Amino acid sequence: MHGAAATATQVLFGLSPLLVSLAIFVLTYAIIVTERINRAIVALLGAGLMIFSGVLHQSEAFAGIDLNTIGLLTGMMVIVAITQKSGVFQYVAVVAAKAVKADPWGLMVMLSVVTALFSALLDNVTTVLLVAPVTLLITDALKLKPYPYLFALIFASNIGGSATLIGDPPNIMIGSATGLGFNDFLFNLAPLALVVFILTLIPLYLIWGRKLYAAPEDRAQVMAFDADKAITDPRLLKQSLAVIALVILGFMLAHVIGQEPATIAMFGAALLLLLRVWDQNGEDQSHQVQRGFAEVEWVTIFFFVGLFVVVAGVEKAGALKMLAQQLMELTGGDFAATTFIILWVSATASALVDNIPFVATMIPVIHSMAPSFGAGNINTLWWSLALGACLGGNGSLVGASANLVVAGFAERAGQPIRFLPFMLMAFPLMLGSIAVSSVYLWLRYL
Amino acid sequence: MSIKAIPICPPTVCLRPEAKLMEALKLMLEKQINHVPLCDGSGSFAGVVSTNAVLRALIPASARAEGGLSDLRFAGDAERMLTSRLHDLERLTVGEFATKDVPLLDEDCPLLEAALLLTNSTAPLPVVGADGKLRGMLSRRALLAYLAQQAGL
Repeated sequence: MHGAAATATQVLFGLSPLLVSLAIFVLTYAIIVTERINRAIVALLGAGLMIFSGVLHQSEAFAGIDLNTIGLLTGMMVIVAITQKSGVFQYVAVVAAKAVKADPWGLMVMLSVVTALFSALLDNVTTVLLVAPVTLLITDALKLKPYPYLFALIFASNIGGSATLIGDPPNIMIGSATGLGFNDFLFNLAPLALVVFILTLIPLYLIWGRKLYAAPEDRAQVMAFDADKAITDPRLLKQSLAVIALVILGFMLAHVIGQEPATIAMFGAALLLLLRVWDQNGEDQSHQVQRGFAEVEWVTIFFFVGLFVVVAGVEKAGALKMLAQQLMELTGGDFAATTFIILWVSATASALVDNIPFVATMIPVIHSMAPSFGAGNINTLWWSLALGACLGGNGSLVGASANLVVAGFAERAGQPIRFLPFMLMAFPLMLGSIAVSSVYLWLRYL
Repeated sequence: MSIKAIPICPPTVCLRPEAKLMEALKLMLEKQINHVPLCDGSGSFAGVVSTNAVLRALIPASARAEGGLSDLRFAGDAERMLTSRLHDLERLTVGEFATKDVPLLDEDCPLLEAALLLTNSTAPLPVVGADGKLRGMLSRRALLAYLAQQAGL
């Protein structure tokens, strides 16, 4: 089989690989954008077409799949799936609500802080999946409309997610493709995330915060919540927190110990599973382990797999190099102009379509610009891609998976979030955060 | 043998969809039953109201919705919230509240099939005649009572 892979690829009917790969790429992305068919299916079909059409050999397709991203995502998903059963998220939310005496504006700030912090350390989707229900419970008890809180939750999760390597899938992909580590993301992006977070609270206060009111007897009801009782499994809580602390320490020391994040996350997942099952019999062990793995979001994982192959196809055919050259011509090779174009285009694109395919495409484009700008400078472009993709996700309800998860839960709970009203408020706020990012990039790197 | 042979016991009470939900609740509490079927003017099946559905409506949506909170011990006993929600239900009619999505048993349904459907359901199932009119509700207990009698137990 290796002999076949080594020979030059022959594209179907002798067509140009560039055209064929671009056609598959555009078709795949167009169908993903319509959201008519599950995105994982579309991406995998696109990947299959790249191989069947002869653009890629299977071995090249496999080589295009970034297993570091897949491994990190899967490992963290297993860890979070197990941890959430301890009730720790409800515990923290209730403690936060009581810390501000269930004051409506204080509650919004606290729940945002909790969401941002969890989103920075875990993945956004899981975070909002766990914080949204308890938010709804508390606003329900306070007889407040949940919408402003859910809006704040979405913003907090995307801003928090932009702060670290593991916070948001775009950062995971960028980190994996560039070798930039946990600390690089933390030192370069977290300060800005903090500023953007604080600045975002101002419009939230002016629009909603100052008008919110909850009756004393309703606040008393929330104050009667007993956070300790939210912990359903104290042993699991200790195990999970210990493993998460170890994994984050591992990420911080990754460069020093010469290991990649995927190894650390997967090892953490295996360690937590071991702690869960070591005193159980064979059958119970199987059940426990099966449940842990079953809660991995396989749709997301297979979506990544398919996309990586589709992008590998256009990359091999030379389309992305062309795009990079076009971009360079457009900016006249000016570094600052390139930085800002990447930031603003990423933000706009990520607001309107899923940021994962966008970032998957941009990574090879930026890589091929490296020779023109030099390896030292190129990091600035990575930061602008990361900021654009993560913060841009706030621009509309479909901008990030976390937004859709919140909207989905709100709808099931009878509090639907409408697409247009959300966007009318969210898009300008998102542009504001990108303007702040521009200033930050200018002051710090340009 | 079909379920036609099974006497529906106690005789089924039936409410019109315009009846108030509280009327249904009082009826269920008095007669110690968990389900009341609804019939429209022509006697056709129009849904079923259950104690479970009423209880469910008292729980916050954050726990009721799929993917919601699976544990509410931390939220206190919240008696005030539960009773105030029960008051909120007062304005509803049974028609607005009823579940219509239940499998119907036709009178000629074989016993074995009825047994299977009942095992998969959490509630008694409505029995409907060929004319579309509600004959009554078939419960697990009624089916078992009939089978026990046939078995000479």
